[in-house]
Amino acid sequence: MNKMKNNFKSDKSQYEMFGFMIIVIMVVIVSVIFLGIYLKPKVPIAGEDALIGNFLSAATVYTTECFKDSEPNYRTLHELVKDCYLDSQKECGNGEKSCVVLNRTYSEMLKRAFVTGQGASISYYLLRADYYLNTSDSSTRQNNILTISSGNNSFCAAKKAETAPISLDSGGILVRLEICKNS
Amino acid sequence: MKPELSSKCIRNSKKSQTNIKEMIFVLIFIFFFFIIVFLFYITTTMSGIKTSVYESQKDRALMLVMRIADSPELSCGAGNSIDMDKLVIFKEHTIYKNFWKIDGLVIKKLLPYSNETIECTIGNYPNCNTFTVIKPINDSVADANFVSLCRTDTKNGYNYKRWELGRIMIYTSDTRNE
Repeated sequence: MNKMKNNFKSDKSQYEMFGFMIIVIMVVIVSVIFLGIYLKPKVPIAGEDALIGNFLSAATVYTTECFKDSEPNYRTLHELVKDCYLDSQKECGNGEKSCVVLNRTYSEMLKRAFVTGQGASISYYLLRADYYLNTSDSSTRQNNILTISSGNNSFCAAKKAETAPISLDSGGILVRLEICKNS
Repeated sequence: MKPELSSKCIRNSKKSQTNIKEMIFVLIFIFFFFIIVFLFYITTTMSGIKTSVYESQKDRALMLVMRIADSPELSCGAGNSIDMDKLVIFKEHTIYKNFWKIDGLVIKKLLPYSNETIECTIGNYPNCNTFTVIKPINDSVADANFVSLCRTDTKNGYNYKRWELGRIMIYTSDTRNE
């Protein structure tokens, strides 16, 4: 009689354990599904990268007031970066130093293209032009040609960057624009 | 019926009732659990769909910007460039107004900078900075991208291509807050 009672109790416990296990398994499965949904890598917005990339490509062909020999042999911004790297004291046809014109043109361009500050969608930007022995290897960076920045780097909610390469006989120059979006 | 048997039956019946109650509780718990999970899933999916729609609209607009800049009617030869000499003529043609199915198309010269907006016409070109190809509708939103603007200029009797920086703005109906 006692044995039967014990068997009955054991059966009941087994059923309860089984039910409990089913619930635990269900909770685990659902949790895994939700974790999968949340941790799914987000597809980067192609448009945002295109914006910076297009700015850099449009900037490189920009006609500056610097000219070679005589007008209208105007130098593009791309060529000015090269000129500035090869000889920082080099003068344009109008008597100004190519590095000065380069800095002024890029600064003005960035100021008109990306408004920074409170209420603006962009909090900070940084433009750098650096010479690399090998442009595909970031550790070969040699010297900085140009650095322009504006805004406050501490309010960076999302960072986007693009580079534009300028090839030289040996090595190359990378113009990198980094933009921080406000939260 | 013996009294012993009767009390046993009652005890068994009570046990069964308890078992049924337990089962009902578990079923109710499982039912509500799935309802909560389902609602959570629907909310997450719906917010994801809204974000996806917004992002795809933005991407579509930005891709359209690039497509317009590369179209033979406006291109300057290089990629992502607009020939202002073509543009000033193009904006006068009304047949293109519905070609891209957008609510507005404006191209602005960013550099050389001018603090006042001067609409370009055949009469004042190139001393202007804004080309309104399609006048934006009031409730439309703009997506912008940068383009190279070129035009043929003359200096010391020589013709040359002058490249400037511009911004192309495409206006589309605002479905982002719906």
